[in-house]
Amino acid sequence: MIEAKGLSKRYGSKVAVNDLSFEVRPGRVTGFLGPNGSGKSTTMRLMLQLDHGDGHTLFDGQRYADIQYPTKEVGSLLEAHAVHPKVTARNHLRALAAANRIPESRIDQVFGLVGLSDAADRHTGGFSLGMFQRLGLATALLGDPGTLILDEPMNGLDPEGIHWIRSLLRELAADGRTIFVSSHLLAEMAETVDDLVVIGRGRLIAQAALDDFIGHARQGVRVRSPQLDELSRLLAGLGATTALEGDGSLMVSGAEAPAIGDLAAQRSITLHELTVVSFSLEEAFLDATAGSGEYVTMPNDSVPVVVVEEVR
Amino acid sequence: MNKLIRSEWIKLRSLRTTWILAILAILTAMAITGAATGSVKAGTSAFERVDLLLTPAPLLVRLFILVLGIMAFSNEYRYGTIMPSLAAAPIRGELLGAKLIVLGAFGLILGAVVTLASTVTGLTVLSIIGQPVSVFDGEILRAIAGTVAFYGICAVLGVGAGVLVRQPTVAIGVLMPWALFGEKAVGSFLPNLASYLPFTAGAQLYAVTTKGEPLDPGVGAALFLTWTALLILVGMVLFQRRDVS
Repeated sequence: MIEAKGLSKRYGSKVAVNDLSFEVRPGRVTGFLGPNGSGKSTTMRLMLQLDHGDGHTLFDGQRYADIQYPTKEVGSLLEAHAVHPKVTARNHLRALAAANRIPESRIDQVFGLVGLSDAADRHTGGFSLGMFQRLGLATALLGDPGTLILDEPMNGLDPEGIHWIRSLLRELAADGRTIFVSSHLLAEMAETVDDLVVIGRGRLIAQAALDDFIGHARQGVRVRSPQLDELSRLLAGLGATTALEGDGSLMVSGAEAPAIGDLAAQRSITLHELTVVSFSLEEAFLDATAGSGEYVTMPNDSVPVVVVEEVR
Repeated sequence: MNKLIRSEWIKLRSLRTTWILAILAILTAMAITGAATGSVKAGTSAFERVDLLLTPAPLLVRLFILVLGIMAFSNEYRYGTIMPSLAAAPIRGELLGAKLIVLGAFGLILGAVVTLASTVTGLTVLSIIGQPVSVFDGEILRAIAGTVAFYGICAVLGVGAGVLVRQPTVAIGVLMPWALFGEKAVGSFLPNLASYLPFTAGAQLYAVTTKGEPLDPGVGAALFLTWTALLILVGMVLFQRRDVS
C-alpha cells in the first residue's frame, strides 16, 4: 500500500508537481499515466525522498528513508542507464545487494527472472536499451520487495519484451505486491493495469479503476450521409451533440445508433455509414488531460510536444 | 553502516580503474624515488640522502590517490548510479560516511604499499651506489608514517571534492593543478600564507625534519585535516540539500 499526500515540487517559478495525492493498492497493477514532462519521474523521486519537496509518501505506513532495508520493501527502477559502464552487471547488483544485506544467491535468481543470466558477467557498457531495462528490473526485484516503483520500464523494449514485462507485472501483482508503473505509452498500459493515476502538468487528473476511467469517457456514433446538415439539426433537437469531423463524417454523442437510424428512416435521410465508436484509453486519456491544457511542455524544453503523436 | 562499507568496497574494487591507478601510484613512487636517490653524489649529507629518499615521490603520487577519491563520488553522478545508491541507502550522511571510510582505508593501505615499495627501492639504490642510510631513526620513521597518513587524507579529500563538485572532470581539472603547483604559485606572491594552504601544510607530514619550516609536523597535519574536514563538511551540506537529479 502506497499513500502519497500533497506531493509538491517547484523549480524556481515552475511548478513540476502540484499537491498530488493518491493511493496505490496491493495486489493490483497501478498505471501512472501522463504525457512526457507531466511530472511522473519527479513524483517518483519525491516518493523515494531522492528529491526535496513538500508532502510525503508512506509505504505500508513508513516513509522511505525510515525503512531499515528499503530495497527489501520497495524496489525501484527510475533510470535504466544508471550503471557504471565499466562494471559488470553482477558487480553492480552485488554492491546494491550488500547495502541492504541481500544474500548473493539472490543475484543469480533475479538475473534468471529477467533473462539476463548470459550477460551477467559482461560490462554494461555494451548493453542495449532492452538489456538496461532488464538490468534495471533486476535491480528493482533484488530485495524481493512487496512494492515496486517502475518509471517507464517498457521504454526501448521490443514487442516480445513488452509482452514479457506485462506478464511479469501481472504475476507480481497476483502475488499480492503493490505495483506502481509509469508510462506515456497508453495502449500498453490498457492491457496491463487494473488502476490508473493520471496526471497532467503535475496535477492529479484522475484516480480510478481502468474500467471506470474508460467507461466515463465519451462514446459516440459516426454517421455519413449526403444530408448531414438536416440530420445534424434533427439530432440536436433530440438533445444529442454533434461534431463535424475533418473527413466529412459527423460524430454524434448522446444518441444511440438505433435511434439515429430510426430517425433517418422516418425522415427519409440516406445513411452511408452508421458506426458505433468506442473510445480507447488513449482517447479517454486525451479527453481527461485536454481540460488541463495539456499537450505541451517538457521541463527545460520550449518545443511543444503534441501528445497525440506519442500515443500512436 | 557495515553493510554500506561492504557495498562501497565492492564498488571500489570492481572497477579496473582502481587497480590501474594503484599500480601507477606504486610504479611512479618507485621510479621517482629511484631517480632521486640515484642522483646522490659522494659527499652528500645523510640528511639530504634521507630527504631525497622520502620527499620527492608524494608530490606526484598524491595525484593518483586524489583521483581515486574524486571518482568515488563524482562518478556516481556522472553515470547516474547515485539514484540506485541512494535508493539502497537513503540516509545521505551514511552513504557519504561509508565512502569516506572505504576510501580513507584504501588510501592508507595503498599509501603504505606505495611508501614501502618506494623506500625499499630508494634504500637499495643508495646502498648500490655506496651511500647507504639507515631508516631506523625516530624522525625518519615518523616521516614514513606521515607519508602514509598523507595519502590516506588525500583519498578522503578527493571524496570531499567529488561530492562538492559532482563532475569528475571539473573536480580533477581544478584539484590536480592546485595540488601540483597552485599552492606554490600562491606562495611566490604570499609566502607567509602559503604554508597554511592544505597541501603545503600536509607536506609537513612527510618532511624529514622541520629545518627552518614555519610549521611543525603536528601543526601541518592538523591544518591539512582541517582543510579536508571543511571541504567534506561543505560537500556534505550541499549533498543533503541537493536533489538527486
